[in-house]
Amino acid sequence: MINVIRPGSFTTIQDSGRWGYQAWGLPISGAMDPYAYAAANLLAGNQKGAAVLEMTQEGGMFHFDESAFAAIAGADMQAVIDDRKLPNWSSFIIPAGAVLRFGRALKGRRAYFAVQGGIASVPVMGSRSTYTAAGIGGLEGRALLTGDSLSIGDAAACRQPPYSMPEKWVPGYRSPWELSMVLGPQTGYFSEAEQQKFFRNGYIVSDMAGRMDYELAGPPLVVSEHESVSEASGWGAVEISEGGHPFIVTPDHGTTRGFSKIGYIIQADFYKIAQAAPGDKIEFIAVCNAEAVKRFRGQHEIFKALAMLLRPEKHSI
Amino acid sequence: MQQIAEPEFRFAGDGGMVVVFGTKITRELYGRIRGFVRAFQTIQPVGIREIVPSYCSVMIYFDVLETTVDEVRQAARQAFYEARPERQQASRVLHVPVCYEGVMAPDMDYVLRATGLKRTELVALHTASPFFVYMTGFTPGFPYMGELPFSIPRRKILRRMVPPGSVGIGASQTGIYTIEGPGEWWLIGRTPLRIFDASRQLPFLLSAGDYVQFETIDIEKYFALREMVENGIYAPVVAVEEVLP
Repeated sequence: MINVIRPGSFTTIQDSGRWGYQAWGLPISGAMDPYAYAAANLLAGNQKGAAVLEMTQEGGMFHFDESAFAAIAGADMQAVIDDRKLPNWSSFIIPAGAVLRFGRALKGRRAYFAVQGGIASVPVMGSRSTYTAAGIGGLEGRALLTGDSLSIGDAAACRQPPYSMPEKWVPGYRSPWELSMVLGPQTGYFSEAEQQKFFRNGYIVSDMAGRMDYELAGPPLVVSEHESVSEASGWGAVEISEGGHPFIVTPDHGTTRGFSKIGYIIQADFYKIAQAAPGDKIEFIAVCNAEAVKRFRGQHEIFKALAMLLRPEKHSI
Repeated sequence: MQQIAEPEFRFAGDGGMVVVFGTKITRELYGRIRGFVRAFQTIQPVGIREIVPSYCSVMIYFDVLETTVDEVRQAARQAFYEARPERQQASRVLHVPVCYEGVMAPDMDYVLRATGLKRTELVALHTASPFFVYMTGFTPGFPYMGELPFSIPRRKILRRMVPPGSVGIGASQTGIYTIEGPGEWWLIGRTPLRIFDASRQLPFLLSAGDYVQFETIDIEKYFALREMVENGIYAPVVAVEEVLP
């Protein structure tokens, strides 16, 4: 059991998302930073898709009844175990009775804590991801509270030694964030001048930056043709509101909306959205689809290489 | 035979593609879109994560580690030519009790002013005959229904907290908010029914292709029914009727 002494400012159980129900309006949810999420699970020796803790802004304090093998990745929340500092993007052993403590995010905004075996909460409609707006998934559909207890799933027999991810694979987190976009589906609803304004002017992440959407502050855009008919709106879409303000669609966002979308942020840059904090600057840059796919596959190659380093005996021929 | 223009394919990031069939909300387009979705699912292209149909388009989410946008486009094109418009034989009609009074209808006065209708006229319009569910989306189980005989622009300022069960209107559509959250439609009533409940065996009360017949109830009845719903002893009234217009 993991006992929650202090939950942190907003800590939820997340996995790779609740896919398959968007046609009924149920968003995918899931870890906002897919890169740090995957890295934490790999380092902890978990299967893809295991449930982890996603901590936002300020991490929590947890007491362990049992020993565990675990990993942290993402924002640097100055993790400490029984007053010993832990390196970020690393795995480690937690002795039974130990206290794991996280602080405020120094770099980035969201940190991921993965424990070998995964967080064993009750899956709802095929996923353990917490979707707080509907109160489902995770623990009672809400963020963690002091006094909560979390079960750890059955750990695989294989034990890996504690390991730190090579520095070259640790992404740098800093503002301004350059977010690459694939144009479409409604880029043509904005005049050349408005598109130039969008790509040339920076935006600032407002305080409304959560799992449902990020409101951006900056020059409003004029939409020459309004999409009033609702259609699918996916993770990474940049919607322009009636007032001309951009919103980034994040994993708990409504599945369909009637806003024009000037473009979609590429999947390889989702981690930047998750790690951008209110007040950070954002600059958009247009890339072609082939470039977006190349970068996403490049990230996948890193995970394959990391898996090889962690468990060479499993991957050697 | 009538020639139908090929759909338009639009990028929706590197993991999504929108297939656009038209621009107007019509039953004819609904049938074509459902027919396309069925044909696409029959082809079973590899690497497809999820398909999300809406009024005029279909979103296809795919995994770029398993497929490419060209393969997805090719499968979509094949599905388009193989598709037969879906024709329903019978319809499921869910009866939805709604309180159109007082605090349950915070935007009623605005809507009456904007449309020039009297309250009794608006309620009569809304309860006269069943509305068709063109799609579900936005929030879990939210039914997008049409057509209202008038159109009203959405609220300019988003309401941050819409109570669940709220019945709203926007443009010429009507819908039911299923969870507490933001919304920009005008609220003209509230139902005690839970359109979405993940703890039920069937989490969603409505799917695209269903009908909703609204029925007016007073505030006492609203709370009486809500208590039954909360205690899990309310059985929703569902009728299966012949094809409705």
